[in-house]
Amino acid sequence: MKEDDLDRVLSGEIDIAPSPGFVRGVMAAVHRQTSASSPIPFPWMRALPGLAAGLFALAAMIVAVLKSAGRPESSPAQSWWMFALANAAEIAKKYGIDWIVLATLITAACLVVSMRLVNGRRALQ
Amino acid sequence: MSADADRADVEKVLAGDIAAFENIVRRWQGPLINLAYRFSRDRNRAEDMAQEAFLRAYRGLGGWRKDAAFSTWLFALATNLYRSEIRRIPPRTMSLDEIAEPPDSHARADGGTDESRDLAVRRAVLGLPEKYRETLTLFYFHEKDITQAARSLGVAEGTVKARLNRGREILRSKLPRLLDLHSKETR
Repeated sequence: MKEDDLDRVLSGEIDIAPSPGFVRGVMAAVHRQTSASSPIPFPWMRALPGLAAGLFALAAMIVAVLKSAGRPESSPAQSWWMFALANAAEIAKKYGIDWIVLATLITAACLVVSMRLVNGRRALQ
Repeated sequence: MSADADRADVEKVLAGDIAAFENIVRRWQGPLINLAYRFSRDRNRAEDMAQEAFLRAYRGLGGWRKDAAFSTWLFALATNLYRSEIRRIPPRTMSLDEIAEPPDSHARADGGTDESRDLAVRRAVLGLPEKYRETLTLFYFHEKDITQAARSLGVAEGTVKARLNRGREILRSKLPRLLDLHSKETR
């Protein structure tokens, strides 16, 4: 087959005509979308104090770990990192960080599942 | 002129006149539905895909940077949507080998029409690997304009040329009988 023949077949396609109600359907969907309530924005202003407190707590923990790692009193064979990790684990245990991490993970999982459900419903509409 | 009319209508829509969007839909419904049809080969699905493309265009009108033509922006948006839609639910296709060796090839040779052969070749394009299929579809939709096809696909013109060559090679190698027949009859 010559190149021209393939060109002729593929470029000689007859266009299809839109159905009569197409424009009306699109405009109805546009109006539906416009009248639908806009999604609730994330409350950054309200979340800000919580985020700041979280960051402060994280920074305080890092400082505490670094301070305690700075004066190694156990065996000198232990590396600085091992010492820092052990201290971090101790502090985490003291403040119940494991439960906080678990709660955070559960919250994140709930958030992801609900977002997927909402997006799935939107795609079906 | 279409470009000026597009610009004026977009400005009206952005200023809050939703009805002006209808002019855009009327102007571009044909091309968008036909592009969707070439991706899906299903009329109803093509209209659904085109409607979704218009909705996305409506939502994203503010993102059209006016340095490029509205049609370029609209086709790129629609192409992206159609590609992901076809990836999500691929159209029913025959493999290239099935098309290459039709079960009743003698009957086709004697009684088959140009139309049915052309349809088989067009369906064969759907059986190509994704990147060649998309490139061939866009290239012929844009009336063999490589620049337009490259813009719609968001790739370099050289990439379009390379994919076109490879796509055509695959078609020629998989459909020799069908295409030879067509070639002889049209001479």
